[in-house]
Amino acid sequence: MDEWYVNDNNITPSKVKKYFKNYKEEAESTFANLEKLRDALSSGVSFSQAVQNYSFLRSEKKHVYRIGNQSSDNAHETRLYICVEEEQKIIYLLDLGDKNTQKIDINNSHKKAGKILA
Amino acid sequence: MGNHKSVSSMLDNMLGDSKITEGVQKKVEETKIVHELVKQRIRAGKTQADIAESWGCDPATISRFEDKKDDDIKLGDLARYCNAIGTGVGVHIAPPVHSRAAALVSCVKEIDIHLKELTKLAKEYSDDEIIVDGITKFQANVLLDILKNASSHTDDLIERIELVKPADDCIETSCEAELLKV
Repeated sequence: MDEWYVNDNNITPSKVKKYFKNYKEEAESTFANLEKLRDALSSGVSFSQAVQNYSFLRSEKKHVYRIGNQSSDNAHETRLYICVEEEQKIIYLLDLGDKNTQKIDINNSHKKAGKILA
Repeated sequence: MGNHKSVSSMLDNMLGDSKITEGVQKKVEETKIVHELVKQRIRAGKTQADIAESWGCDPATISRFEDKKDDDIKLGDLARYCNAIGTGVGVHIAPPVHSRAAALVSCVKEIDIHLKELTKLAKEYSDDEIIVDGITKFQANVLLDILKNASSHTDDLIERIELVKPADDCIETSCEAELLKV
């Protein structure tokens, strides 16, 4: 099976750094879930199968999906927005946010995904 | 910036902070076995509901199982899950290896186990005695060849084979007899 890649051209390092600083556990869990998704796709699981089977992966429409963190009672909800290019086997990171910023984050992600997949 | 082969390498490049990468890697390691099981289930085309039916439980139970860390799963549940997705599961506890001869004996035992499994499967799935006989002879020949070719460690081998002497297998007994002649 061909390896899948993660592309970070569309996400700002300072934002990622901020989340790791403020919500360490949640950010670690979110990025661990991203690695699980990358690994599953690399092993032959199709993206549609992944969406159906991984509870941390949800559609936000217009080709944008969000990866969440492992839920626990006190966890802050971190959301990593992605889109995928299945032929080239690339997961594009689009934005990172939480429940408070989700509207803006999703809108930004829709715009970015539209450009990437055009 | 760009394409990365793993999330760890991406974070390393992006943030240059090894502690962050280690934290993410630790989280991945915590659920490595469960993640592998879920991957196998998906690739087998089975849903959580399919596994629940096989277990005789609610799909929510399977969902909770798949959310667990490796440290929290029970061995019995692991075996039941593997059975439900159609993969095998085994536990291999090997003695400490002190010498090349001991390592060889360990490998021979391993080969023997798999060949016995092959013979069993052949008996289950085929009525053809020629096939079953062929596999049985192959098993005997493989073991004899390995043991005969280990003449430089004969004494050590004999000692160790006596330690792991099989209970009631005529093929292994004949191998042992052959070895004692070497």
